[in-house]
Amino acid sequence: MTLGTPRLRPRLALALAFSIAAVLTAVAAPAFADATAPAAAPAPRTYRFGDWPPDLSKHGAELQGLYDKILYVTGAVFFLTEGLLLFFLWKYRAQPGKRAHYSHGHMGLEVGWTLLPVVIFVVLGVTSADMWARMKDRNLFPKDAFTVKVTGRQFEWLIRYPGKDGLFGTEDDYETINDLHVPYDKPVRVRLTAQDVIHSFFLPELRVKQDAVPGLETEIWFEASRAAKTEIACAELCGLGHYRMRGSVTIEPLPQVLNWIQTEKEDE
Amino acid sequence: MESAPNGHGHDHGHGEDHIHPPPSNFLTKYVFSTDHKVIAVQFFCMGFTMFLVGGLFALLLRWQIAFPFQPLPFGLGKVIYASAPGNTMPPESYPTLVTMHGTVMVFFVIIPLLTGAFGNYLIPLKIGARDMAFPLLNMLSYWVAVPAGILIIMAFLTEAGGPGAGWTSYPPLSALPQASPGSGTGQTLWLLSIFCVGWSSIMGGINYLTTIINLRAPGMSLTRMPLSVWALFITSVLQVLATPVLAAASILLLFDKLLGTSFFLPAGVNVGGQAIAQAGGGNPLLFQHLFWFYSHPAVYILVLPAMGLVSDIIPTFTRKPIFGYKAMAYSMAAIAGLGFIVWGHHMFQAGMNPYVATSFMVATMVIATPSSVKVFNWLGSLYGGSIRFTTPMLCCLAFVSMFIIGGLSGVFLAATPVDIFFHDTYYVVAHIHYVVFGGSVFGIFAGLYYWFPKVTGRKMSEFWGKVHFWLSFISFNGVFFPMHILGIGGMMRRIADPTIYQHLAPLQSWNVYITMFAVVLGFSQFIVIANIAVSLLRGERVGENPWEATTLEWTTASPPPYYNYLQIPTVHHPPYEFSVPGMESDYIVQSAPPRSA
Repeated sequence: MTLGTPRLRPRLALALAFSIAAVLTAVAAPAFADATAPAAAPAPRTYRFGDWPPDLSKHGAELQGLYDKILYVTGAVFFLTEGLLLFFLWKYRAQPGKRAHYSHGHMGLEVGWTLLPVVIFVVLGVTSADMWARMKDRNLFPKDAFTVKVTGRQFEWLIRYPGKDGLFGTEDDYETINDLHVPYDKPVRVRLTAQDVIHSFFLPELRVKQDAVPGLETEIWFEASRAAKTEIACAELCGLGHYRMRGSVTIEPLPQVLNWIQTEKEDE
Repeated sequence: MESAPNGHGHDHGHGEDHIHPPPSNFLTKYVFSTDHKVIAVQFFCMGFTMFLVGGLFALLLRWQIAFPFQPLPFGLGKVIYASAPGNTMPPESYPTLVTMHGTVMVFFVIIPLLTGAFGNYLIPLKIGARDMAFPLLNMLSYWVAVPAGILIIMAFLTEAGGPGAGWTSYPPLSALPQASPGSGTGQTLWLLSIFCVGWSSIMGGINYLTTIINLRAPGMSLTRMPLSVWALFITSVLQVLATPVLAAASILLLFDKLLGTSFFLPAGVNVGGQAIAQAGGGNPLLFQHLFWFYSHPAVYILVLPAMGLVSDIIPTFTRKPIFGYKAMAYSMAAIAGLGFIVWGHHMFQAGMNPYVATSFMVATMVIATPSSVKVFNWLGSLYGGSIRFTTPMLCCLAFVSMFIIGGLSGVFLAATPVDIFFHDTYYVVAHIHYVVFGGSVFGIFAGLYYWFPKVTGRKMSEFWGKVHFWLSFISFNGVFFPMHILGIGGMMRRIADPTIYQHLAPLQSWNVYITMFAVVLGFSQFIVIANIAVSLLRGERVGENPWEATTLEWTTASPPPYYNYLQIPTVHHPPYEFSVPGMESDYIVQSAPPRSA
């Protein structure tokens, strides 16, 4: 197709005009919104392309390590396949006088590229199994954990601390809403359930997520690495307020956590 | 079968082959038609209309995510959110739009377009049959899908609010009107609609299986079937085996909603301080198991037929046989088989026993193998070819390259520990859209451009086809690639306002960027509509075989007559005989006389 034929030119111009109009619409759209937008909240941290949220957990590095391992494998496959695709498109483009190569395939290649992925994927699977069991099998959870009970309900997190005796269901339990205080350098065990519909307890900066299901107690654990303030989000659609089912997490030294619980309890 | 009007199935294999005259009545010819070609066009029109509806929902969602609770541009809010205060999106509309976008795109766009439209049109023509085995059943499968479409729109327009529990509709949210305004009448209509669409799907599947097994032309052995027919055959098996489970799930949920049963409601459920009297003894995870037992195979129902279409089109434009025909067919069968034992990977974080999750992870890793075999075979099909870059070919290449990305991103999600972070984030949204939009929708576009001349006797404009392709391809990647970045950033799915979270606020510019491309992607689809409309009236007229292809449908007139073939063809060749050495012509149609030995 040459761009110069007179028959084509008006159509090309129309196509160009359409593309420009489409792009302009897209670019103009935010302007309409900005006109009425309240000033955006200042970004609390600088963000670079492809960043994970800050990692406050001890297992986060291992999780990201596994991610990186998969990224190397899939990245290699990606560049290999897409590269070959583009190369073949250029190399084997239709050219006058050149006929396609008649072939129905190659048995050895077929077997090779069937077995290779099986091996790679099974290795990836096996590598993942160990960390997964440590994260989710409650028989393998650390024994001396700081334990809280969290109940999801529309659209808040009910948080129950056992108090000084370390037991739930006793006088000194303290219950609060959307205010989770946990220690660092000590495993934290979260016993989850929900009151109404399914929610999902997600701590992005602590790299944990577990659904909270009515009628079921699920558990998750993590160990924070430093003092910080972070957030709980809900990751399972739970109704019209799903997006604002947000809680705060304060990570501080264990004595401070216990102290905070006691003070709050006394203020009740 | 005697009772089926215009049934041709009984003619076949009984020696005598007579042709019925086409119906002359407008109603039986165009509306209540039993002709597979008319039914295919009906499915196409319904699917494509719904594609625009689902796309509109997506744009409203995108606007909300990029500019939370701000008025729509050009005063559109006054029309769309007319009754809402400030004419901006009310918070209960967001989950409803999320639900409707997913439901419409899965059940009313991709499945009807791939199996309803392409399946119906191509199966009889490609195997050399006059019609489906059960033409009346075929008509019914369309006329059950129509009320399903009406029901889903009614669900959306329900006064109390449309269904808002996601396309997955997990109870208790979907079961209790107290928990979500859309979980009353809206959700009930949704369930009825899904029940009907599933019914339509089962009827279609049974018909396709019977047709492919019984009505193949003489010489059309299983290993001479075009891969699109293989794909549709395997898809039909999935439809017939998996859809009844969805029907069961939706009926049980309907019972919970209407009859006061408690299949999915455990004791003690309490919404806003109000105890739910009927609750007790049920388990919400049971619904998830039933739902995904259908809906994971359904993901393959969404993509297998597109793989078949693409495998049919690529040889035509590389002018060489498909690489590894048998491996292509086996790998599709393997995908379908393994597809039944991976559903639990949707539930890794749901509270299953972690070791059950591990076994689902391994099965999921294994299912990646047949998919990669297919990709390698498509690459092998390009190797040594003589590639013609027509619009349908470009769409096929988009399918292959985007399916690679969608497949690879699935590996991260399959690894259970990584999924702890990625589950229910935008990484999942990116993954599903690379497979279903980058894959299936581009496969549908490829099929549309490729078979349009057969259906109408006229070619679509190549030029406008390419404009549509490039705009869609670029803006598709502009929309969905950054969603991986959002996933890594920890952005949850289905949230109406990401800016209130400290870990998401810095990512907000990505959301604005995605929305811009979504607008371009949405409006690009008007080009293909205009192209269809103009080409119907003024497109270049073509003969039987404009693409110089080899399969049987290209041996009959364009458009094919009512009876498809005046004489049932006899098949002598495999499906993709291109560039056979020693032949002058570079293709041999399947029904060409055998070459002298």
